[in-house]
Amino acid sequence: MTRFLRRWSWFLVFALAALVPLIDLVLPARLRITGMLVPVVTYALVALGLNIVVGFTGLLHLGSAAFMAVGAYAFAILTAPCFPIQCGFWPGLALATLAGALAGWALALPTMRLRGDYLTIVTLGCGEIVRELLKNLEPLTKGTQGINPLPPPALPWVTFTAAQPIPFYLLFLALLAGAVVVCRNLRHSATGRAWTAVREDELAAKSVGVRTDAAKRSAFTWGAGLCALGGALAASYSTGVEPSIYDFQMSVIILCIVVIGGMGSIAGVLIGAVVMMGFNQVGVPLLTGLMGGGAEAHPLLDANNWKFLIFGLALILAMRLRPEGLLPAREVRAELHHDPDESDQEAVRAGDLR
Amino acid sequence: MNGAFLSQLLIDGTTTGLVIALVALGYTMVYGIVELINFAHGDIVMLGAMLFLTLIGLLGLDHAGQSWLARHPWVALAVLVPACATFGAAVAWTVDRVAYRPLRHLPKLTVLVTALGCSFVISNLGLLWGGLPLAVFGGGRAPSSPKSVPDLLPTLNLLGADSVVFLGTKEALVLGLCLPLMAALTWFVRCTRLGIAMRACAQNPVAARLMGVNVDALISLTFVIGGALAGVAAVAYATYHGTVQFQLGYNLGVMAFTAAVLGGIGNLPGAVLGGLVIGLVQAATTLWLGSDWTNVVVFLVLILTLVFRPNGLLGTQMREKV
Amino acid sequence: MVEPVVPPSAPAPATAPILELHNLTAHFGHIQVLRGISLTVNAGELVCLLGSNGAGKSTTLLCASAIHHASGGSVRFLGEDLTRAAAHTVVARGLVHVPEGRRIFPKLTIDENLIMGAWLRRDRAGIARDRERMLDLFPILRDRLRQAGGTLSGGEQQMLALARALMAAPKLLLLDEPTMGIAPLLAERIAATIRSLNRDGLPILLVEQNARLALRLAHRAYVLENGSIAMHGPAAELAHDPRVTAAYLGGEG
Ligand SMILES: Nc1ncnc2c1ncn2[C@@H]1O[C@H](COP(=O)(O)OP(=O)(O)OP(=O)(O)O)[C@@H](O)[C@H]1O
Ligand SMILES: [Mg+2]
Repeated sequence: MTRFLRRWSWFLVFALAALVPLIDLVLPARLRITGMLVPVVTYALVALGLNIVVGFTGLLHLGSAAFMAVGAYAFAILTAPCFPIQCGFWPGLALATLAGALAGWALALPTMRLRGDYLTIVTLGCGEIVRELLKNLEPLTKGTQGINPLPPPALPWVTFTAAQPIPFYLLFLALLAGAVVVCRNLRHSATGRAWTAVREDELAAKSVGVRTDAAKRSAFTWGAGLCALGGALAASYSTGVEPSIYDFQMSVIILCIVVIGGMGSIAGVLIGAVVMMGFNQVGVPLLTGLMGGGAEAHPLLDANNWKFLIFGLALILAMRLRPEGLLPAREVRAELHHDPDESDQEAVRAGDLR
Repeated sequence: MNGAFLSQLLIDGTTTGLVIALVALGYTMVYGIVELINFAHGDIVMLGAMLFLTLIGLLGLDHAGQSWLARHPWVALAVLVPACATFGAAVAWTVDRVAYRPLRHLPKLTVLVTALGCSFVISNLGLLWGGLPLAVFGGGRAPSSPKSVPDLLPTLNLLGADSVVFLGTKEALVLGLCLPLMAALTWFVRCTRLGIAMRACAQNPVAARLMGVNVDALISLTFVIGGALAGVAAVAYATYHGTVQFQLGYNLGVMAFTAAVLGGIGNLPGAVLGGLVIGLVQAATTLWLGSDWTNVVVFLVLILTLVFRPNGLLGTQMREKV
Repeated sequence: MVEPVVPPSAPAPATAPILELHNLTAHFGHIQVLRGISLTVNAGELVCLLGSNGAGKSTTLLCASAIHHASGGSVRFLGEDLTRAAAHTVVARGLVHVPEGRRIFPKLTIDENLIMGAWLRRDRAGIARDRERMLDLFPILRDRLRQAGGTLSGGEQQMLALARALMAAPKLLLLDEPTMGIAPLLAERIAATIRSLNRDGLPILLVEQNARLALRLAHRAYVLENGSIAMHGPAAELAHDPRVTAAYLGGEG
C-alpha cells in the first residue's frame, strides 16, 4: 500500500488538485477559490525554475522576476493585437519560453567566473536592468503603460474567458505537472548530477572532471526557461503586462517560495507556492476586512500597507523555526540538523584552509 | 564640453557618491565579519531619514525663522545628526541581536533570507511611519508617496554668487559629514585595538576566540558602527536629495551594495571607491542619457567590472565559507 | 637508530593539579569521539598526549579550552569548573590553546597578531615587555614586524602562533602539533623553545605526532586510542614500553 502510494503520490496530488474546482460548484460566488488558485499554479512554475538554480545547483539568484518579465513580454509582443506578429497563444508561449531560456543563458555568460555573493549581486543587477529596459524601450514595450490585451489560451472545444477561471486552472495545472516531470527527470539525469556536484563542492566537482561552467549555464538556462513560461502564463491570465510587476520584491517572493517550501525539493516548492500565494491572495484581503479597511478608510487600516511587515516577520520566523523549509530535500535537512557545537568544530577546520 | 561643466559633474557625482559610500561602508563592514549581505541596512537608512523628517517637524524646523533652532540650522543639525546616528545604531543592533545572531551557525542562505525578511519589515515600518498624521508627512494620507524635506540650510553658492559652478551648503554638509567620518573609521579600523580585533574576527573568528575575543560582542559593535553610519547617511541623503520615501532604502541600499561589491566586498577603501565611481557614473548618465538610464548603466558597469575583475576593484581572492 | 631519552632536567614538581579532565566525553553529532578521558597536568609539568590520527587528541584540547563543549565529564582549571564556559572567558583565566594548523590572522601584520594575543590584558608595560621577549625568542619575527602574517612560511607561522599565545601570559599552554609539516631542523628549534618555556615554570599539554620528540620533552605522557586513554605514565617509561615503541616509535625501540 505504501509502495503504491509512494509510486503514485504525484499522480494523486495532481488528480486531487484538478478536483478542487468542484468545491466552487457548492460555494457562493463570493467565496469561489479557483480564481485565486491560478496564480498559485503560475508562481509554482516560476519557483520550480528558480529551484533549479538555487535548490539544485546552489547558486543564489535574486533576479528571477526578470526572467518572468522576459517570458511575459516576449509573449505579449508575439501575440498582442497592437503588434504585427500575433502568432497566437501556443506558438507565443513556446517562443516566450525559448526567449527566457536564451536570456538565462546570456546572463550565465558573464557570471561564470563569479563566486558566491558576487554572483548574487549580478543577478540582482540584471533584474534591475531588465525592469528599467522594459520601462525605457518604449517602442517595443510601450513603457510604463504596458501591453494589453493579451490573448487567452486556445484549445478546441474549450473557451477561455476572464470570468471563468476553471479552464485556465486546469490547463495551467497540466503544464505544471509537465514541469514537475521535467524537473524530476532533469535531477536524475547527468546534467542534474552535475548540478548537485556544483552545489556540494564546486572545486571538488571540477577536480573530478565535471564541467562546472556548462552545468551552471544549463541550470540558468533551464531555470530561466521555466520562469519565462510561468511569466507568460501569468500574463495571459491577467491579459496584460506592465513593468512595475517584475520588481525586486517579486524576485524575493519567488525565492521565498523556494526557501520556505524547501530548497531542492520539488514537492516543497509546490507547498511553498500554496502557502505564499495563499497568504497573498486570501490572507491579505481577509485581513483588510478584519481591520475594517477599505477604499475610504485611513491608509493605515489597509492590510496592503501591512502586507510586507507580516510577510517579513513570517520569513524571519520561518528561518528561525524551520530553516530547511516545510518539505525539505533530504540532503538539506541533514545539513541543517546538527548541534551548534559541531559547526564550531567545522569552523575550526575550515579555518585551517584559509 | 568645458571645464565648468566637468567640475559641476564632479561635484554632483562626488556628493551623491559619498552618501552611497557611507552606506556601502556599513554593508562591507558587516559582510567582512559575518559574510552576510545585510539587506536591511538600506532600510535602516530609510528609517533614519524618516526620523530626521519627523524631528524636523517636531522641532518646528520646517517653519524658517520661527524658533531659535530654526534660525540656527547648523546647531539643529548638530543635534539631529547624533540623534539619527544613535537611532540607526540602535536599530542595527536590534536587528542583529533579534534576527541574525540566533542563526549564526546556520548556512548563509538562511541568514540571507532572514535579512530579506528584516528588510521587508523595516521598509514596511517606514511606510507606516509615513502614514502618521504629521504636517511634514502631508498629514499621512498617502504613506507611500515621497515626502519632501524642507531646506534647513540657506541656498547659496559657496564658490561665490557669480560662479558658474555650484557648490551649495548641502553639498558642503555632505562633504563635511562623510569625509571626517571616513577618516575616523579608517583610523579606528587600522590603529585601535578594537579595530585590529575586528579585522582579526573577519579573518578567522575561531582563532580570535582563542585569543579571548568575545566575537559576538565584536559583531554587535560592527552592526552598531554600520548603523550609526547609516543614520548619518540618512541625514546626508535627506538633506541633499530633499525627498524621503519608504522605498529609498531599497534604491539606495542596492546602489550602496553594488558600490561595496564594485570596490571589492569586505574592503573599506573599496567601498568608498565604489561609491564614488557609482556617484560619478550616475551623474554622468543623468546628464547625457537621462535619469531613466542610471540604473541600467550602473549595473552594466558593475557587470563589466566583475567580468574583468571578479573580486572587485580593490578586492583580493574571496574566500568562500560553505 | 635509537635516540637517547634525555630526562627533563628539572624533575616535575608533583604539586597542585593545574588542569584536570575527569571522565570527559565528547560527540560530533551522533558520533562519540571521546569516551571518558581523565587526564591531569600538574604545576610545572610538560605532559604529552599521543595517539594515532583520529584518536581524539585535538578534540580533547578543544574541550579543555571550551571551543567545543564536552557532552559529559568535567574540565577543571585551577580549581574552577570550565566544562560549559564560553571560550573567550577561558583565555581570561590563563588557559591558552594553540590549535592545529596555521591559525594566525593572515592579513594582520605580525605586530598586530602579537597585539591580538594580548587582547585580554590591560597592563601596557607588561605587554610591551612580553612583546620584546617574544621578539628575542623568535628573532625572525622582529625582522618582519610590519609584514602580513600570511606572508610567513609555515614554520614561521607556527612560531608566530606560539608567540601570540604566549602574549596572553598563559598559566597553561595547550599545544596542538606545533611541529606539523615543519622541517626537522626547525622542529628541533621549536622543541627547544617549548622545553625552555616549561623550564621557566609554564605547564604545557602537548599533542604531537612525532612521539619520539614528544617523549623526549615531556615529564609524563598519555596515549589515546579510539577516544580513551590506553596508557599513561612517566615519559621515560613509556618511551621504553614495547607497545608504545611498536605503535608510535616505529619499530623495536
Ligand atoms: N567537526 C567534526 N565533525 C565530525 N567528526 C569530527 C569532527 N571533528 C573531528 N571529528 C572526528 O573526531 C575524531 C577525532 O578527531 P581529532 O581531530 O580529535 O583527532 P586527532 O587525534 O587530533 O587526529 P590527528 O592526529 O589527525 O590530528 C575523528 O574520527 C574525526 O573524524
Ligand atoms: Mg589533531
